Amino acid sequence: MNVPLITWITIVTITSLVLIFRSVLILKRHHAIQKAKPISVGREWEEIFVPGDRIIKNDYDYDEFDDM
Amino acid sequence: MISQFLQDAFFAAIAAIGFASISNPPRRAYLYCALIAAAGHSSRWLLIECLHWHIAAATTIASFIIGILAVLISPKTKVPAETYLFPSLLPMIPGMYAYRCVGGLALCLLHQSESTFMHYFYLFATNGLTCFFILLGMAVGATMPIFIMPKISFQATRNN
Amino acid sequence: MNSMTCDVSTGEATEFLANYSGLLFGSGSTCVRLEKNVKRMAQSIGLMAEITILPRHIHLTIRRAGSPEVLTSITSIRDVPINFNVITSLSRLSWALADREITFREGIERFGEIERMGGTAPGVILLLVSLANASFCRLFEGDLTAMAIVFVATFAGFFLKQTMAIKHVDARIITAVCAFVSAVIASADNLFSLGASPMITLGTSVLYLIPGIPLINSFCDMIDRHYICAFGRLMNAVVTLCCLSFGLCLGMWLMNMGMF
Repeated sequence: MNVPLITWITIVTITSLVLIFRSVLILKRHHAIQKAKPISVGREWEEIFVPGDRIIKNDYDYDEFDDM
Repeated sequence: MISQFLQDAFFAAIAAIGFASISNPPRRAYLYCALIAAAGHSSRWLLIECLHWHIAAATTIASFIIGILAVLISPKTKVPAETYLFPSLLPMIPGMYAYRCVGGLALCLLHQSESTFMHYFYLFATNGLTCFFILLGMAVGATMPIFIMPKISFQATRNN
Repeated sequence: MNSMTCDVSTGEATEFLANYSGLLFGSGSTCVRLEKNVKRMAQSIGLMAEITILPRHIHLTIRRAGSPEVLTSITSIRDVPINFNVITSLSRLSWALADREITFREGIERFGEIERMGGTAPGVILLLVSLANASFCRLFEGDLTAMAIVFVATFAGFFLKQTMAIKHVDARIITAVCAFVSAVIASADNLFSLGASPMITLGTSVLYLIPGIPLINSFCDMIDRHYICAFGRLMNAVVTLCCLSFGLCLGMWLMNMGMF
């Protein structure tokens, strides 16, 4: 059998699969961040905001990171 | 000849920008790194191709030029000299010599006869020695300007 | 050095200087830079600092002039990617403190900001590195086909490197795998007889993995007589080189390419 050709095709296939998979994942996440949910449970401070309240930072990115 | 020289400078500049980006320099440092690297690499090309110098000696002189440029530019932009110096030196790193040296050593192990062993040991030794002396020359050449002008190079990031 | 009114205790200053050293050194600064910056900041508040730099730790001893109090701190060197932006900012911070433009308390706050500083966008780095390696191929007199193949091989290899780095794979494994993948992809030049310089294509395709900055740093430290640190950095670079060679040789062997 032609080892070099088989190796080359295998490696190129695996690499391209990883590349496509990752790109789709990145694009998806990018999309998800941009799209706001129409209905969601809000936090208390979003409803009743008293001046001087601490604005809670959007830690969406970190949540995303945890499940990777 | 001139076109070759310019080509060398141009591609060295692109190589410097790309390899510098791995080590995250400040954004405005990119342009200077490219210019300094182009000057250094093309002067090395001149020394090797026209004056037929050995690569280690030529690299030392080229690094010295890079070092002087980096030290002179750094206070003007309030950036430490290394920020320009190291990324600009990257295109001259003897990468091929380095891995050929390690590869040669590995192949010594797999030898079948004395003559193949000798061949691979020769590859290991020449590549290793060249790599070592190029790196040493680079470090000496590039840090010399810092020793000559310590006031400029260590006060570059000072505000007044 | 006259001691000035200082808004932090010696303990807090020591902790700050230790964190500062760990980050500055981890970001890829030389030993001289570290010593100068730390001593400069310590002197500005009437402290004397002595530093021992070990391969993975920094040993810092702080003494107040004219007082018997001595504080010692041993910090691990931060395991962060090389970042010249951080080095530049930390150097500026040291001068701002030494020239008393800001108070020590403000300096500690600014240090926190520098700690959180990110790097260049991964996508941009990926593209720039691929371009750089392709032009490197040109510097070694490869033809246009070789440049194109090296571009693709570097792109694929570096993308894998970034992906594996996110998953926290060991850096040595990353180097070996990326070298292997890049070498196999680059040997297309030989396999399909595309260009005139297949060996140059193969040889330059893995050059983006060469630990350039650690190598230069190591030799610079050697010149400054920081031999232990220089040796430590050299060993790190040599280990990376061995992993690279392993991946490359495996690729060459599987692809039936002549060994050197």
